[in-house]
Amino acid sequence: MTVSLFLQLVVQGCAIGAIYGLAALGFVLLVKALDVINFAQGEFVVLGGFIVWTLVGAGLPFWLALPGALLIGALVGVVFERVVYRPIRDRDFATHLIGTLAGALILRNLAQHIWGPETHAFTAPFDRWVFDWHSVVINPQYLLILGATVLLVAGYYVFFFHSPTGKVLRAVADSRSTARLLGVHTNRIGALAFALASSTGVLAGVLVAPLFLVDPNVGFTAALKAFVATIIGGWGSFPGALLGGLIVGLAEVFSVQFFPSGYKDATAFVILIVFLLLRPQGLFPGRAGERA
Amino acid sequence: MSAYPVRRRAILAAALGSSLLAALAGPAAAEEAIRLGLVTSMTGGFAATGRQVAAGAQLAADEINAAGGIGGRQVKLIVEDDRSEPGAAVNAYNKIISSGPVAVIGPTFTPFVLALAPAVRRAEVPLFTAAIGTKVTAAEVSGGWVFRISTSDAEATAKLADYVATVLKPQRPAILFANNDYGKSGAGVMRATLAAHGIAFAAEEQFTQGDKDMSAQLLKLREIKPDLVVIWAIPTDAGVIVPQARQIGLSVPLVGSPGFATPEFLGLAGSSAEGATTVIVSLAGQSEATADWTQKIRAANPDMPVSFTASTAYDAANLVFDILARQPDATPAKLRDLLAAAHGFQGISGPYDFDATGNGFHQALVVTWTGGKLVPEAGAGQ
Repeated sequence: MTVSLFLQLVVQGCAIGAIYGLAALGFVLLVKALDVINFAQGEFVVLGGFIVWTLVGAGLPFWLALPGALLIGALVGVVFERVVYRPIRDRDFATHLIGTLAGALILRNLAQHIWGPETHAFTAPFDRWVFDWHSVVINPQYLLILGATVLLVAGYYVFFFHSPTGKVLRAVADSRSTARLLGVHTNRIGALAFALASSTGVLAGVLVAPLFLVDPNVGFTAALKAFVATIIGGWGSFPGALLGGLIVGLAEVFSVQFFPSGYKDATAFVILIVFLLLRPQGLFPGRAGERA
Repeated sequence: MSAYPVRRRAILAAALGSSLLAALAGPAAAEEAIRLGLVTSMTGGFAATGRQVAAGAQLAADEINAAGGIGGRQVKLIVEDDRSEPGAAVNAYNKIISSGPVAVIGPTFTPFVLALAPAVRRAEVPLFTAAIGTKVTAAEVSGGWVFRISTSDAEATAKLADYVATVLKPQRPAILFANNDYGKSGAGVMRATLAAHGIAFAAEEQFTQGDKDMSAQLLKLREIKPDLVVIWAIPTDAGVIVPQARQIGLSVPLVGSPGFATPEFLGLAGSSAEGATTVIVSLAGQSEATADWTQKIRAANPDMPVSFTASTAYDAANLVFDILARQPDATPAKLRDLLAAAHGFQGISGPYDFDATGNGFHQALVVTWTGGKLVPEAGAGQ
């Protein structure tokens, strides 16, 4: 293996890994804030692609369409919390699982109803431009994704551990009834958490659209890999989600060089099984002691 | 005296009855329309394709009616929507059969035709379909009543493979294909045809249909340094693979599955589609030769993309009209026998010649995306 191929594989693996990590952040956020697993997170990613595609198609420049999409995403999150999550929030894990899964199906069908089943091309902001760096091909979209993910991880980390609102969010995750007794508006906090999670998903959708197209079926794949990244990283850890994503991304890219490519999708799950056997708490055990 | 009113009533009744009978049987029998059925997707996921089929058949019916019909009888096209569901297609088909059509133009997707097959064998009315699955015209499925008006998948793939082996003659080809039935059967035909000409793939890579990141496979292919890459994928996957291949610096000629010949692929791949070679059943709707016909379809359906999907339905309707013009009293059974013997009908799509199993269309054009248009390759013949 030449040095340039090795570097190219590292670049490619990190880029894909960052995408998985970015999609996983929404998962982690809700685990951390509300102690709930949201299986509709992948559908927020789908929404992101379609919303930004619609806004740019309507003539908005990309850098205006992006905040617009995030805002619409946040609104969808607030509605989702009110309609899907709040009625079942005091139930057990299985109810959360089925409830958010039902929410995912509703979102998916709603998206199909609005935008139809077709896949669309979306190339903003870089219009499929790539550049060479020492014979390694770099797609600026990769840098954008990696940059956004690292910033978000840092931002969420600071927010959750060093801001008053973040501390309230964690307190609600710990015990909603105690938090409420102490005067926390738990409804408002829940809405905030879902708004953040869904706009994080929307951001992921906007950023991967130039690579993965605007496709109504991208949600399931995104959610599956993001879920694996979340578990590997340690349930409820922001840096863990990014690191877990990077591990899966790099493993996928490198595995194809050595094994038949038909098994590429299995790579993520082999890693998942290895982790569950050897280190079930993940790289950064999150919830257990809030160490992150 | 007492009989008079009765008699008058009887005469009135007789007069009324006979005039009613005359009204029912007389003039109506002479002008009864010839019914042609159409089961297609007017709503749902396949509506874009289904509406093209309807537009093609409707144009053929409108044209023949404007020209005075067939032997003085008008043609009535009976359209039933299958809502893009195989189950609903069966109901739509049964509804059409109850109105006594001479033939039915059916769905263009293989699973739909397979769902209809038992009803078609029972009804004993010829069914036309552009579905490309090999099974569609198999005797145990069709019972001899299904007529394919598009080139089968196997025929089109063989044609493209032959072009690669005998005209492009790559020294070091590679292939990337979906790891499902579709990808594997396409790759199988390619592999066998190239092998017959002493050419072997230097690398074979696979992907999961719907996967969005092909960079791992494409990087591996790039390292092999092939002089040509064959890609067997549905249009949406092809639209992901081709831009990624070009971005990563895989700049060799690309040869793609029939999915590459779709406007959908061009829309997704954009300028990176340029130079990709593929195979298409017919250039109807795109070529100069079909410009007049395309104009007519567009006149009635302004925003509709026009392709061989519309022209095959148009041709099927005209095939029926052509036979009925010579045999006005043909029953569905008689029509079947005449169809099975039909040779040399020149449609908008191309020439039709039915073989013993009901495959009527065999044209496959090797084409290359050039400046956003599909241009036929010289030396590929038909």
